[in-house]
Amino acid sequence: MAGGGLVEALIEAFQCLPGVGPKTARRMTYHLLERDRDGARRLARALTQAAERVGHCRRCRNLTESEVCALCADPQRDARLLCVVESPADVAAIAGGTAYRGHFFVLMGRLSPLDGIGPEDIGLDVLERRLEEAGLEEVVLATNPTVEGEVTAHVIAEMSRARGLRVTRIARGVPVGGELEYADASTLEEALEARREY
Amino acid sequence: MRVEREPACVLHTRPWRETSLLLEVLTPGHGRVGLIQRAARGGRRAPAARPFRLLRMDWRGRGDLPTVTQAELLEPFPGLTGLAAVCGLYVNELTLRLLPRGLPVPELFPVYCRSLTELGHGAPPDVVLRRYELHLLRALGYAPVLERDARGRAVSARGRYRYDRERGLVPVPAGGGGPLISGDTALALANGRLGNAAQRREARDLLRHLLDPLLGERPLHSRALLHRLQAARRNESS
Repeated sequence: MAGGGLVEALIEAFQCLPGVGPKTARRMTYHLLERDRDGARRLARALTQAAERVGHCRRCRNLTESEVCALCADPQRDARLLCVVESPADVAAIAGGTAYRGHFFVLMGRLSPLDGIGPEDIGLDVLERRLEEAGLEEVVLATNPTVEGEVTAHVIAEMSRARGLRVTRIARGVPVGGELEYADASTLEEALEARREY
Repeated sequence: MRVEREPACVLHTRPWRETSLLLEVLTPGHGRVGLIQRAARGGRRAPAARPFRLLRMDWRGRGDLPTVTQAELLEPFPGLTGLAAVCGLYVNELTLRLLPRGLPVPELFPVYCRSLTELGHGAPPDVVLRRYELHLLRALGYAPVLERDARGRAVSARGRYRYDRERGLVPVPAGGGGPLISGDTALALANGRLGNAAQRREARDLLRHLLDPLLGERPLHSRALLHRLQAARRNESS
């Protein structure tokens, strides 16, 4: 660290963010210190509070400072549906961008035997208890369409079927607004296989 | 070093830095190879180099991690979802753990491809996995002798043996350690024609007896996952 002062320490600290290298970190630092001290104070407060107090929801494992997160506590949401996703970002995408009104369960990862990530690491023991709760009818598998996401979906499907629950998987295919010639062969193949009456 | 148009199957990928991927691939001519593929992540399209697909790859560079210069899909292994995918991961994990980098495997590579194809087409996974395990052991130089017993006599289909790691098939009751195996199973495994449940069980025990000392203490995570799925299925049906 050149000079080793507070400015350099801040530049260094910003680089823990994804996509932020030395240059961007420097720009962020100068911006906050020269033009937006209040913003800097707000950022520091929010960071400290979040880092100290945010944990995982007891029911769905999503990030929250409460014992049960706002989505789980919302009585308006459909208790018959449980959508299983890999990350909090997926919850935000589905809850914010679609008409889905059911509940969520966040794995915080996916099964990846070759990386040593097993069922306990993604909270399948917590999910098992969640699947036992009264009123649940359908588990919607929304893990990513990668090899690991598929394997994770399969294991959760088996767990859910063993409890007599309906299991569905989100559809795969050509993205809306996309062009066919740019879709890769396996996506097109799946899109054709899963074609529907029109 | 510069390699061109080498058939390759991705065993595993790991994110590297912001947009790159670390690949472990299996090739016929160069065996297991570690590669780095730049600008492979973060775009809208899935990377071409991902597990369960047969690719044609070019790479160049010195040292442990040459750089991929081209990766073109030759064919995906279709239908590798659900249990077949878990079995596919077991094949990959076993290969990654046991095959050292750089040992050419011209005979194992087609068996690898055939195994994934058959798993995808719904072949009985245990038969496919036993054949792959046997060929992997062969590539590593640990293949069991299955057609002759420890004294060099032809194995009899009606005989009973124990498999001793040092000596091979020892007729029972001459004794010794190792799993029990019928002559029938030994010959079926050698010919790639495992039949009934008893044969499959004996073959599984024999191959595990041979693989476990090579694997050492660290467990195979995909094997644990397979066991978990099988146990769940048994609970359900009972």
